[in-house]
Amino acid sequence: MNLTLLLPEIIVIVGGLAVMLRDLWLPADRKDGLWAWALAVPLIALAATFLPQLDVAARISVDGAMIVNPEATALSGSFYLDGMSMLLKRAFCVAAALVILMSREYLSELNRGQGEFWSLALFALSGMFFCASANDFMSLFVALEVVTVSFFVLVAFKRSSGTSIEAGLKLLVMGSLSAALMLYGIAFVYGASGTVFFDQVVVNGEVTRTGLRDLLATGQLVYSTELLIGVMLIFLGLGFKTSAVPLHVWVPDVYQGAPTPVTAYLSVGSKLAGFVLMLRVLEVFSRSGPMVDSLTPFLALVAAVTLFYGNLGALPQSNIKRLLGYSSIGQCGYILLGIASAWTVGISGTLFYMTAYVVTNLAAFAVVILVSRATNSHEIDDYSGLGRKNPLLAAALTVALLSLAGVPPFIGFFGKFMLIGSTFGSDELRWLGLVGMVNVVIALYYYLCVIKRIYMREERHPAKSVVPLRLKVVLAISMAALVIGGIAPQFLADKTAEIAEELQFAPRPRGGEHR
Amino acid sequence: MQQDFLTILMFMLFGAAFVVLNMVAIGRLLRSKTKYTAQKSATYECGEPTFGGAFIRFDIRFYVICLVFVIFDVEVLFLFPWAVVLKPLGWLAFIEAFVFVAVLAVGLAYVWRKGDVDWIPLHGHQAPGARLSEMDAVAAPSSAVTAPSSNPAPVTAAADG
Amino acid sequence: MEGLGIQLAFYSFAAVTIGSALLATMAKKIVNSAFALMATFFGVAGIYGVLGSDFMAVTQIVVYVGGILILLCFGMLLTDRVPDEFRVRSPRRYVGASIAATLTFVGLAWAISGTAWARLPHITDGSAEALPTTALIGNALLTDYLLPFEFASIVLLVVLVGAARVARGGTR
Repeated sequence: MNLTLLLPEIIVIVGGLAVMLRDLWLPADRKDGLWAWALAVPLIALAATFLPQLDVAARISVDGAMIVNPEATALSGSFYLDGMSMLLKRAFCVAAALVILMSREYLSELNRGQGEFWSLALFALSGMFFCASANDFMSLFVALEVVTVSFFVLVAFKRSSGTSIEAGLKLLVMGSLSAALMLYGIAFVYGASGTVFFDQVVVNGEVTRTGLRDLLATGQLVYSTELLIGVMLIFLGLGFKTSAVPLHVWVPDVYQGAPTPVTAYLSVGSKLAGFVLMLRVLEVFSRSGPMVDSLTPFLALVAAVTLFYGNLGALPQSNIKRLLGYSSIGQCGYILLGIASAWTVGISGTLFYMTAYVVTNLAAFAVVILVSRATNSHEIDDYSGLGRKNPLLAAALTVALLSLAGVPPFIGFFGKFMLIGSTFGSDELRWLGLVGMVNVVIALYYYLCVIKRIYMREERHPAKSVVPLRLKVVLAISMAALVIGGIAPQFLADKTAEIAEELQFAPRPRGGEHR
Repeated sequence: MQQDFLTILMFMLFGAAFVVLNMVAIGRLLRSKTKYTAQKSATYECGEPTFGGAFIRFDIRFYVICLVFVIFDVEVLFLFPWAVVLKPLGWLAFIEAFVFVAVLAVGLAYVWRKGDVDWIPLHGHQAPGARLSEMDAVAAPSSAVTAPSSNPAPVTAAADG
Repeated sequence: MEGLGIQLAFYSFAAVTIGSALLATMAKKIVNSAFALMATFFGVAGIYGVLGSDFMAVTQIVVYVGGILILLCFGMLLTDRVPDEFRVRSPRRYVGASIAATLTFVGLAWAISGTAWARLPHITDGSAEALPTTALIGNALLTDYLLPFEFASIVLLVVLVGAARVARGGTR
């Protein structure tokens, strides 16, 4: 067993357990310091991802064909470390660290029982880690359940607030439904193929266990109705995590009702975990041409509907958390657009946009937390005059919203450029690119409405926001990433292009120009 | 193997038939014939006259304890197949299951320290002696069923010492 | 003869499952629904047994009948009051639910009947005597499925902590 590869995961799990035990034996007056313990865990895990021992080639060439390197797998092939999982793990670490920095302010309002928050946030992080590395359907399901169940509790964490409990309940009902759909889909795939593993295991030249990748590549497993239904059900289940239509209905209510740091965590962590699994499953099934032909229109349709739903739904919103909820449905549409055109440059753009989305959305939510602490409200009207009261805060929110809208020179622009550009690689997806462009304009309108209120309206609340050091750090890091990533996107773009190359999506059977 | 299940099925069917036969057929033959009155269909509660409905509102702690039970129920089900193959698989299997149990032991420590398995509503953690004295202080056991918040905790009681 | 007995057992368990599930959805009192659900769980356990999955049958009874159902009853008793009539009976809901159920059924029937099961290499015809599965499951859990097995402990831990936290409400 190659347990060194699991070092970041082990750090996060042991860290979560340690924080939980520490909380149990800590006197009440010293529990405030627990956030520093919790913060240390993702930072140590982030450092661990840079260890040279974890830098293993994900694919090796055998007889001219690139296959999965057994050295990069662990736990009998259930765990797979490649460029994509590494990039996402680093993004998850950054997201968890920033969220923990933000949460401290919110949690000080709860005088008791906050130790669980830190450990649950860390367990959710471990679930995201395993999502990034899952290499069979069982691991995928269990990892996703850890993320989902942690979020049920985190969303309902403010027990005294009715909206928080209601949001938790809505998430629970929808989450259970989607988990059931996904499990049913896995059962269909298992029924059609006889395996839940992505890779085969070879001992002494003899195949001891079959895997989907190899079954599909060698033609032993052919496209069939039950296989397609299984994969579609799995995608529906993952669509819940990524808030894609038709499993998006929970998003606005849950985003509004959940404690704001949890909303921020949910909007990046849980969503990216869903996307990385979509990419992984799609990559496995990209070896079957008819499957690709059946899935591409399905994904494209979902992407288009999600784009319109999110962006049109955001227009009438007056609550900033609801607005960001609808906007996150819209952003999900963009990433789906990249995934639908996965057989061109879409994957690189998808990974780029996912990474950019983490810092952008977290920056927006950090400002929302600060403003609501001063005004005790999430109404967009209460952002009036923010530009005069807190010029720096207003600037940070403006930059974050412009980046979400895809305005140059911020990081979001380049991501949207890559995603929409990817659809023009194939003839049948060109319409989707047009849908994406129309939605850029719609989204720009409601983001600009917020910015207009910030700078061009009289203030309604005289209270100025006090920015604690922890949130200054959050804003400084995310702003730096937004601007540097926007001015010099090639560092990240080169990396994602390299990962997309490594992922080895099978060449698109027809219509693709790039391969 | 289905034969084994057949045995269980036969046993269950026989048990069901035995109960039904006794209650309906043999009971009808043996019991004394008296006139039906309204009292005959009343709920029997140790001979006392009943009061109130059976649907009282339970304390949430019943739920938490039941939940702890279900979690460890599932844990045991995971350990059952492990126990069957422990011998051929050896020490590695032992370590694997040890990690599994250790993680859940943290959960047990959590509910224990947070007082979820204490029956008397304790807010905070005291020495076992203090627990006993508080048990005397709680007047009626029924108060524990109906009102968990009837024993408000001093804020400092959560401190450990 | 053997095959006929198995078929008879399968269809009677299926009838018990479907009948009690209908009862659980249609019953007027929620308590009756819960007890009908018990019969459903038993019926599913019976189906597992007939299909030769002995460990699953036992799991079904231990977890669902012994645990989940009790939890369900506690959940009922935790609510403020248990009204005798708890269902809103509106024809619109019946129509909507019927359409959804029919569509699901047709979709699944289409997928299952469209599958050439005999062609699939990993599916045997079931004439062989089923073997006890517990040791096989134990082997699989500790070798091929080690990661899901170990990580399941984290799922259970999170469920335990989360449910206790939500039920308690963060007072301690």
